[in-house]
This record gives sequence, structure tokens and C-alpha cells, in this order.
Amino acid sequence: MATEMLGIMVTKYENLDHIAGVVKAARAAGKAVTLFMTDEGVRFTRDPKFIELLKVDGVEFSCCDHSCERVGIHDKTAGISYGSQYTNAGMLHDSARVLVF
Amino acid sequence: MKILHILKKAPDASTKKIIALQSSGNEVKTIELYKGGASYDKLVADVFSFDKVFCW
Amino acid sequence: MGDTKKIAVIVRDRPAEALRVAGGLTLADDTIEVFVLDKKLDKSNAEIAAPLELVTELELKMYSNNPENGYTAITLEEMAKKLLEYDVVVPY
Repeated sequence: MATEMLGIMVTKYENLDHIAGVVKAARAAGKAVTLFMTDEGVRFTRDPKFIELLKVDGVEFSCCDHSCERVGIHDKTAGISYGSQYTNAGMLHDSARVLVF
Repeated sequence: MKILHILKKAPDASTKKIIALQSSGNEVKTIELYKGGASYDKLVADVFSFDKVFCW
Repeated sequence: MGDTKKIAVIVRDRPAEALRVAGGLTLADDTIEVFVLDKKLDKSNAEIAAPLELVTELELKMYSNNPENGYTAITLEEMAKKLLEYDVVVPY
């Protein structure tokens, strides 16, 4: 049986402790994790505390390039894929469960 | 049906009502993240064992 | 991408982004439906009008418990029940 995937959609620049707690717990439970940032959530791409989370093995991080432009983030962070809402659509489609933060 | 409601902040009137309405005839659990002290291990286990998950 | 999923987007305090995301979610060929909760959409606001035009062009089914929105009328009681039909619910 394929590994169940947890999708995490981050739309606000809030709740980092909860997001980190869920990501680490899901990995400890053997779940694949994909996290997509959009809207104000893309501010995490430049947040040092969030960037620490990129070290967690088995998690795919991506964000909405359009949202980055809107909020004025022009620098890219290694370890995060920059894409469109197509990535979000794929994540929701492929995830066994989805959480929205 | 097992329904999980995860509350990131205190629920507004409509959210409260939706949860209350779904409680009739279903097994509903609410996790109040905004109050602190949540077990993320338990939350993840619930997320995968419940039929429906809502994050408010 | 496999079987089609049913996804509900609940439009609450950030309508422009909620509608843009709803439109974007169609890209995986899933069924996307939109619920405008409580508030009346300000269709004269350009930031809302553009994504609203997108979801209209995509012919996404739209429900609201606020009759002023002019979408398929649904009570909160009906909405609570209907939301259980979806594989994923995105409250925005």
C-alpha cells in the first residue's frame, strides 16, 4: 500500500508552532507530507524559524509565485519549489487528508 | 460518520452552528488548537482515522 | 491524477484569494464548488471581481446562505450537511 500523504495548505502567516508540530508528527507517523504556501502564507518562505522546518526529511515544500509577487517577496529560498496554483490543485488531489492553516 | 473539527481560533457563530448541526447523528470531535497544549501525534492520528476533517 | 475529488471552498473573510484559489483548484480536474458564508460579496471591488469572473467562466457551482449574493440559496443547516459530501473542504 502506498504511503498516505498529508497535504498542508498554508494561507496565513500564522500558526508556525502548529504547522511545525503537525509536520513533524506526520513524518514520525510515517506519512508523506506536502506543504503549499499561498496568500500571506508565502511570508514563511523568508522566516528563519520556518526555514528550519525545511530540514525535516520527507517533506515537499512549495509556494505560489504569484502570491510572492503580491506580497513583495522576490528572493527565493533553496528547498522550496516556486510554482502556481496548479501545484496546490495537485496536492489537494493527491493527499489522503488536507489541513488548512 | 466521524468528523474532526480543528479550530485554529475561537469559532465564530456560523462555525459553532455548523459543528453543532453536524453533531447530530455523527461522531464529532473538536480540537481547540488556539487553547494550546495539543498533542500533534494524536492530532495526526485523528486526521487519518476520521472520515472528514475541517480546519477553521 | 486518478479519480476525481469533490472539493468545497468556503469563502469567508478573504473573498478575493478564496475565489482565486477555487479557480486554481480546477487545474487538477477535480469538482470544485464554492460556498459564500454569511457575507455579501462586494462585486464592485476589482480585486474580487476578477477572480469572481474566473469562477463564473469556469461555471463553478456557487452556494450562499446570504440571499443578497444571488447564488444557489442554502441555509446554514443545509450547508452543514452538504459539506459532508466533499472529500476536502477549504475554509478560506
